[in-house]
Amino acid sequence: MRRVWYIAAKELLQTRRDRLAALFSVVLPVVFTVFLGLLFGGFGETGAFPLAVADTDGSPAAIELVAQLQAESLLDVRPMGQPEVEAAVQDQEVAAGLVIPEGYGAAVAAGQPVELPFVRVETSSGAQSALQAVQAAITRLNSEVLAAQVAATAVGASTGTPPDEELLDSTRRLAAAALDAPAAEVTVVASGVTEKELGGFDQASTGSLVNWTLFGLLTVATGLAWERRQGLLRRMTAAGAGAAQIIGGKMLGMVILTFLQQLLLVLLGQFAFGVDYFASPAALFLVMLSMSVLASSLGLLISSVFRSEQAVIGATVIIAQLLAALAGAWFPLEITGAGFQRVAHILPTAWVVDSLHGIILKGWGVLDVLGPLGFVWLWIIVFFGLAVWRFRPA
Amino acid sequence: MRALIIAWKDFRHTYRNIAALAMMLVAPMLLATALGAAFGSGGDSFSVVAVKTVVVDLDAAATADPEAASDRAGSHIVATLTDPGLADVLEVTVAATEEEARAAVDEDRAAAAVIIPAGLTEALRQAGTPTTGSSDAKEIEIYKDPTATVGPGIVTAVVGAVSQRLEGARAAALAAVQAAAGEGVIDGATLGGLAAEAAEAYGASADAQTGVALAARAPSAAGQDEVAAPNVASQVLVGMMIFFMLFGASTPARSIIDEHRQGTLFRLFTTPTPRSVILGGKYIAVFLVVLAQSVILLLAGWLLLGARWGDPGPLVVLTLCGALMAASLGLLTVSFAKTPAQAGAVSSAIFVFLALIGGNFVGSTNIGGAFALVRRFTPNGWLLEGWDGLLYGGSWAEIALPVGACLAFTAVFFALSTWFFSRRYA
Repeated sequence: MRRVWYIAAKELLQTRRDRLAALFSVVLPVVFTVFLGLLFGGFGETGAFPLAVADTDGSPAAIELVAQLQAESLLDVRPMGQPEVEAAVQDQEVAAGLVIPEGYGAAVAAGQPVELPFVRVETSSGAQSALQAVQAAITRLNSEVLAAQVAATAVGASTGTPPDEELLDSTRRLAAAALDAPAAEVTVVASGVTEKELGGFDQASTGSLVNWTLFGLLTVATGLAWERRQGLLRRMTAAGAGAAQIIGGKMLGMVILTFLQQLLLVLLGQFAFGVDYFASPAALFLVMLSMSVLASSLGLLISSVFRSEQAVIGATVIIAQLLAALAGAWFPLEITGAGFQRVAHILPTAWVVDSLHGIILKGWGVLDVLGPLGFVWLWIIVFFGLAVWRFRPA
Repeated sequence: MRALIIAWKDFRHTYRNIAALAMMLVAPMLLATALGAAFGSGGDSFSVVAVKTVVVDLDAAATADPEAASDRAGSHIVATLTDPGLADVLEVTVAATEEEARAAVDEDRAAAAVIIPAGLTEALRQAGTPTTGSSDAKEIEIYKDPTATVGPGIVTAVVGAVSQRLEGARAAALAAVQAAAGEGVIDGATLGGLAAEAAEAYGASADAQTGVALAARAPSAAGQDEVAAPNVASQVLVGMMIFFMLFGASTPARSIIDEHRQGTLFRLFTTPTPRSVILGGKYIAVFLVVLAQSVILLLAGWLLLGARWGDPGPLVVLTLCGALMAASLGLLTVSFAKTPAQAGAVSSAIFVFLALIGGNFVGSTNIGGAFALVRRFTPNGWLLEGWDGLLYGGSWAEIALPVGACLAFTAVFFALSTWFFSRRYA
């Protein structure tokens, strides 16, 4: 056991002296978390969704529509010409664009249908949210116009006089007032202990934790490949260290390193970005430990299978990216298709992300994370078993 | 000629390396295919899973008469949610009690629960003045899973649409009553009938009404009538291709350090071949390796993912520009490293960082505002902007600025790497 600890301590010392390791363990994860946090929280957390609006009609009805959009708290309306709208959406300077076509006012006055081009990049979730906000304003407008027309017609029929413009104006004002004081409201309440919803930093922090724990094993895995190529592992066996002790020492070193890296990201998330990791410290510890052991056994497997440092770097980058991207570390799995979600949940990392979300948002405790982590440990057994089977000191 | 011989040797060496090939070709295709699949079957359309929803109607539960219950506002909401037309979007089950509905969300059996309050119908039928204020309004609660955003958003939108329709009927009734009173009608029964007639007429017209509607489309390029809509997989592939081209460039670039450490570079320097020709050969090798990589990936994207790359002229220019940029950056990250391992780690870190802020990982998803500006501080960000322009049907005008900016970065990177190498091998 003492030899295992010596080998692990050597890994820790070597990593502490390696400034490049700090880049992967500290600098990039922090930058990644902040960047993705702002990106996902994006417009939603920082305020309104920028919406470029081109009014090519200029009628009073069009001006009124623009005013209604400006009144929507979720929208930051930016008036501009139509070519600028197209360019702004394509350059992603705005979440989406809306074009009010010529003849809009006349069509609304005549009760004719009219289509407004909503310009957006299909994959943009900011555009989806902007679409909902614009749709809400349009629906409100349609309700108001129809209610006024129906009321004027009914009153006209009742009094025996056909509805004139004055009556239509009157019913429009009355309908608008009625809609401004609704009898029913739709409210959204999040379940869970905090009633908090998934925010930008909740997604980014947990995603970064998974992504960079996997990347964090790069230094140790390449080091192991280098030691084998230089004959250092063979020298260790000649000095009396068995393969089990070498594997144990390397694993322990990697587990400690990746655990410390996670701890840093957890502390950053908790205190800098308000991600409630400490809602259940015991459950969090289990998840972090499982993630560390998972990453370490994967690192051991990669360095056991591939011989050169270049191959280890390549394999680590590819596998880490795939495991992170497919598990929902880069974007929430909720926005993907059913087949993708099923495939993603074959991977252990998706269950780690689920467990972290459960802890920070749903009040999950130790018992709740045991199920998802059981699946993670099945993968750990597979990775570790294969790594031990393939491990050759020479 | 000698430079080309050196370049060809390095080119063959790289394309015989299985690990390098996996990194250069397999990884970007795998990621593009997987991420393309994530956002729609075949990468052509965006689709989400039907949202598991539970609904409890406390409004209809207040009356024992089934016939009367079907006329209640709550029943309209339930009928809309369970409409077969929405089956692709919503998977709805009806709960008997509020507790049952909330438990379904708490226990992860549903993404959202719709709780329709008792007395909703009476609130909507109330013929009072519309100045009551929304604080007295009945709350239709959407109780949602906190980790889900899109699913509950869809449920909220559907319930909001029904609620808006009920509100519209109420507004029509109130407007009719108040307008009629303004015209001198004061008989209560007449006003009551008028209100019912207006509400009914609103309901009937709302079914047929199209009014103002939104037509979503992709942005069009200048001077274009038809809007091109690239498939998702091709957009993802471009991001991944540029990212892995950087790794592709660093592999042959690292051969300079490998040969330096093994002594073969200095052996070359003892031959009559000038050092500039030797290093030139290395530069050409790096460029050819990434050029071949991008051509293979573009062809694979076209054949396997159905990508449509746009006008051939701008496509060739962007491909060449990308290869030049990746080669120059690959050489630069290697030029100041002392060992191959150091070069590998440093270049990986730089590439991941650039890809992060340039938009290679997130593509068009959620980018906007400050990030559109930030990505312009990176050569890959400019290149992606050029590719976006081409994928959306643009041509020379859309790629001119991105290509110019990217080439400016390339010139600086080549100059810096040449300076570092010159100092080392002077």
